[in-house]
Amino acid sequence: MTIPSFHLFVQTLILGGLVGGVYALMASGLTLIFGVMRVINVAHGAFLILGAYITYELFQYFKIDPIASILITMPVFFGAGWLIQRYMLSRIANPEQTSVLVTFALALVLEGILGFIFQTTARMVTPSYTSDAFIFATYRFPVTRLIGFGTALLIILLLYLILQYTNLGRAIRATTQDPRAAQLMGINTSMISAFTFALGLSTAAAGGSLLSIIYSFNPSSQADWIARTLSIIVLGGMGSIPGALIAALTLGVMEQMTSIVVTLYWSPIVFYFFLFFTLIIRPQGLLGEIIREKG
Amino acid sequence: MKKIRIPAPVWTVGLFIALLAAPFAARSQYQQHIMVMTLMAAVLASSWNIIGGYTGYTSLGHAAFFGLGGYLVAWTNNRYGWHPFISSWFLALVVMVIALIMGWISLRTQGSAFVVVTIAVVFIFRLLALNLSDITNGAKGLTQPRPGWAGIPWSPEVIKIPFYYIMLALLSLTIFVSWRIRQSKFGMGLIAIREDEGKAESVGIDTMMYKVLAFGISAYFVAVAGGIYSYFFTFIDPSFVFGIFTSVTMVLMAILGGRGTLWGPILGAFIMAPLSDWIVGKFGGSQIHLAVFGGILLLVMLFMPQGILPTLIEFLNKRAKARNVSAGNPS
Amino acid sequence: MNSKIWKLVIGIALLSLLITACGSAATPQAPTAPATTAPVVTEAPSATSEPPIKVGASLPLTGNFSAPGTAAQKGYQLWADMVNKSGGLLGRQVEFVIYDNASNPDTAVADYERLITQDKVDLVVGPFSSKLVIPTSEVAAKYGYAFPEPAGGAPNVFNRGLTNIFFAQPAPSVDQAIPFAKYVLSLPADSRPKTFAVITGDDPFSVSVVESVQKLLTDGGLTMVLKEVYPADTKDFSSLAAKVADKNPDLIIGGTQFEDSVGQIKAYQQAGYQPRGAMFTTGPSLPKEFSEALGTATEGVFAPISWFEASTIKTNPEFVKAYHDKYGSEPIAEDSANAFTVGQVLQQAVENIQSVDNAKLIEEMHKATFTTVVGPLSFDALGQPKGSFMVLQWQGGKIVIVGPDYAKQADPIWPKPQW
Repeated sequence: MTIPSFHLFVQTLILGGLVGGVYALMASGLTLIFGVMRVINVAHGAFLILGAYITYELFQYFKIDPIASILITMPVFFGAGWLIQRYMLSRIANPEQTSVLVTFALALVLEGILGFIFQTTARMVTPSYTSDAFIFATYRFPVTRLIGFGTALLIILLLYLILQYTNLGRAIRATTQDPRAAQLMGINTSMISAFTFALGLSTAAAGGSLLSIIYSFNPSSQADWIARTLSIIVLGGMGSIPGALIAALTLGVMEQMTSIVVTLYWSPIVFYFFLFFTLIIRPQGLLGEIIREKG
Repeated sequence: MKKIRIPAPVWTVGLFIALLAAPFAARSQYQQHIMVMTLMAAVLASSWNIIGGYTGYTSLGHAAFFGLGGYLVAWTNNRYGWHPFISSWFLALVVMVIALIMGWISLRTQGSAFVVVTIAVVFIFRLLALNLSDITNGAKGLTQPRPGWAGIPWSPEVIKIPFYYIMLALLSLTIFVSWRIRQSKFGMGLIAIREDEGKAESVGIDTMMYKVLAFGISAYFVAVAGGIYSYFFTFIDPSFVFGIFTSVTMVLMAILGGRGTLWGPILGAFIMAPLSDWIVGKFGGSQIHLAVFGGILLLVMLFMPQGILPTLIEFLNKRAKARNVSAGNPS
Repeated sequence: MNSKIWKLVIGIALLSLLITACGSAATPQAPTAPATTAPVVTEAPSATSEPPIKVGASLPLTGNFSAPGTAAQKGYQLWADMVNKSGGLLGRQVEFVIYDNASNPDTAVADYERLITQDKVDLVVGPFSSKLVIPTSEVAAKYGYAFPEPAGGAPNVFNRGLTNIFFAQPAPSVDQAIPFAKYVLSLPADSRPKTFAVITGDDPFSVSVVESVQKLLTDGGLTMVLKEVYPADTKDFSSLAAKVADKNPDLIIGGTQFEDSVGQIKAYQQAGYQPRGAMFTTGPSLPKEFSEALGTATEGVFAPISWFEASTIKTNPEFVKAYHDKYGSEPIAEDSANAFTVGQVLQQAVENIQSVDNAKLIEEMHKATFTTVVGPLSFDALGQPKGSFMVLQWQGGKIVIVGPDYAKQADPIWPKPQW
């Protein structure tokens, strides 16, 4: 156990906060999907990695900047999400019970295929600014993280605007609150579900592109990422986007802080303990509402 | 033509004799090795079924109990010389107590949130195993002396045989307990929770108590299997035993055979364990192995969510009914 | 109804037992190889009618150790090819049976069980990395097999009382970085570093290498300002780098595999940490991947190494030529050479005693001295080699041997340029 200097403390806070923003983007799609469909998409992590690989390939072969490639990956994932929801998930009889296993299976298949295609060597997208840092009053803001943070917040803001101010968004929110009532009001809930899933997956595409410039990844990293993002949305309260945002920032800062004060080894574990104790006190998570299963 | 019905006990005895004799039909120690692993898989699937099948709570945390059992046994064997064939049975009680506590916390959540929390359980124990290196030897893993009895190691030609029989004994016990639970009032309560937890509560079932208990019992057999496993391999390290994939394998076997049934998980294990070995031998340990496992799970979930056994029985019943109808004697 | 379930379960149970038991009877088991990788079973014109000598190995062709695992496979394969071309071993062809363990110790253990009892291989050779060597050597020992291995040199490989392990690199891991530590201590007082940090992944190999450096440097009067052990699969090094930058040591000692060596260096760049010297245990020794991942940031980085391509030591030029003929012109990884060394040790031991009897082989390997691409190799009672490592440094985008004197290609650069 070491007490960090003030400078190191602030520097760590900065690093944690920046990473937290990216976590928030990754978790937002997951929690949105859960809110509307009561489906936990365990394949979210695998899709993040898929997004990262696509970004990597686009960068390698066409020299497309990883941030620009978001414009390509997002629509592609949107389409894929639509198809997966329409032709696979909608078949599931009892989503609350079985969706986890179906999407888990999907994650394994994806990981297997990714491993088959890309092998297991860890990759990272390295645009020219990879090792640069923006310096402000002796504190260092790594450029890749700064870009990641900014892009993530922008997309979350966009998501918020869509949900808040468009008819579609209103329909989504209505479905989240009460699917049956929404249906009675004339909302095509199955269409809304497909749209939400597609929207959720496209945030995974963006998250994957951002991940690819900040972390190295290989197909099996999907397990790390899904564990992280799932914990975030459980902690934040399943279905709550503001909750996910708070939990993501908390996780980001706690992870980095633990690795400074204790060791890197303990940084994930502290978070899981925190998750557990939160659940003892508030089983519904920080900002979640108690969801009663219907018989 | 009258069909000759062979009564169930005859089948039971037949199966038991076949299982007793099986290791001697093996052509190599490796085949015996696979047999031991298959029996172990059946223990895991059958035990998982008590919480995952009867109660309907999909736990992905059981790898943690498997690993805990393994580590406790390895540690006490190295330090105090406790023989794993004996210590596994009572050290698993310690694991059961831990599982009861874990269950008490995690079973406050329901449905999907429960699954997520149980995943976190595995991660916590994995990280603990990596960090508490004074006991667990960290990422290096723990080795144990070559299996034997009273200081004399078993010769490599017969080394698998004792493991086979102890695993068979464990499997028999697991099936017996699982069967007794199903017959009991406790088991009815668990199934009621699966069907409708709110209603179960309203008719006076202490659902929390039932769930936590089922979770603990289910963890017990998994932990015994973990203990024997660590001695069987004489090596245990965090990456495998505390891995989500280990949990998923249990779930897959149970679901494939038919979750919530007594024999489904056993059937699933007897299919998946040899298949898994074959895939690993043929195509290597990852990628394709993973994709095939995921693919099977996906297909089962989408097209046969009840699992093989219930689907098959339904099919046989329908056919029998159809035959009866056509024969003109509706029953 | 109930009896129906019974019959079904029993039927399937019996069937699967039957299949397990007769699996190999039904299909005569050709040694199977992972279909996704290069063909492993050596097909060579059979000169004699004698059955081939089967050599078994389980390698991490996928997973965390896939890069060195694949390199080791190339080395093994090349050795078998060369032996077969020159008439085989004891006049018999050599046939490799290789399984992929995906860097997973449990699979590796099962693989060696399968190799020895099911495939009935005559000889086995080791997997990559101490982590997999430790459990698998127990299997080999149980069945009395000699276990020469290319990459398991950590202390707890040797301290478990086994006599069948032979580590085919010039020195066990605790001794590997001694030449580097000596070099640092030999620097003139005004440019010698005063402080250093040890940042290592939790892997038996890496930890043992850096801890011996740590001891030598501390004894030599340097101050260790930071020591961190991180989980082997760590991806995010930013906070660690911030911590290192905060202490700003003159010298950084990284206990790494390839991926975390790259991860550490990138994080140091972002954190603005510029040491005067840097050493990483594995990573810099991969000639192609390291520079691909880091570009010019490789300049001046040190690492211990057991072998180098330009070495003119006996049998090495032949090995280098055959390698490039078979696999193309890319630079050869150290791990391929180490695997090839295992083959050489095995071959000479078998030829010395004219038999593949493992008990006699173990005896012979303890006694004889072997001519290998890393130089003459002999083993002590624990199977530890008795040679020494060299020091490499990246200069002008290439690996250069900078010490000790007998192998030196160029003078070391100190302090290193900024990365």
